[in-house]
Amino acid sequence: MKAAGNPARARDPSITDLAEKFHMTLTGMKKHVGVLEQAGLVTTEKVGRVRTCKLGLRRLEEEAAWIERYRQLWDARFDELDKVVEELKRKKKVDGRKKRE
Amino acid sequence: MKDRTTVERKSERELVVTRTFNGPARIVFEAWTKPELLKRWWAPKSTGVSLLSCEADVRVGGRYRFEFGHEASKPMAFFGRYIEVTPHSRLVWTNDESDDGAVTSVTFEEKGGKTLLVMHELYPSKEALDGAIAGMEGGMPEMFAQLDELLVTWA
Repeated sequence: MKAAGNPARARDPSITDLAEKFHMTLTGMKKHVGVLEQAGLVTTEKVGRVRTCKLGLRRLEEEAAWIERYRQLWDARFDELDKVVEELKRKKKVDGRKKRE
Repeated sequence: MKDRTTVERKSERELVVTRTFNGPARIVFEAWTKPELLKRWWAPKSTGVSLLSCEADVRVGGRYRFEFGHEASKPMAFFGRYIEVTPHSRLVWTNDESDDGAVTSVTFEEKGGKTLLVMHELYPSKEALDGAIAGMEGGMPEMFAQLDELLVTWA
């Protein structure tokens, strides 16, 4: 095997790699990775006969999660802006009345 | 009942935020253009950051600068220039914190005493918007810190 130039060494770790690294059985590691995958902390991908793992969400899920967080930020701002608008409306009404008097 | 805020990625380079306000356009516009009013809603408590300073010279070519943070010694600044100011209907500004900053335009459309607000954020490229979104990893540090801990306990 060409150790240094072996592209297999540069790829994301497989479940077998992780099991070896953490001195666990393959079955045990599969379970752990499964839990992390469900929680969205790890993404796995089957390449040939090997399942590789990496940290984080899938691209599309990541984008959807970001958009939802961004929406929540603006929603929180706009809730406060509602209050400012209500207050300005009340003020204008009072001012208008004063002018007519 | 409050109106719903929507956010959509309209194209590879563009995000669109919409919301309707229960008031005429001139009032909503005023709340976006007077610093003392902007200050009251731009950094809501629920986001956990406070607005340290808020300057906005709302006229064509005028500058704005908002500083946020948990402590005054390390503020995070957002700044740029207003490039279009049309009273009660349209505001456009640049986001100059980075070369990949968007141009933001906000339109105010009044209908029956209510105002539909549409905010477009146009990024210079698909990569710039993708980058802004990927920057969210910075927003999930707790999650990755916990995972690090987990991995350490495994090893």
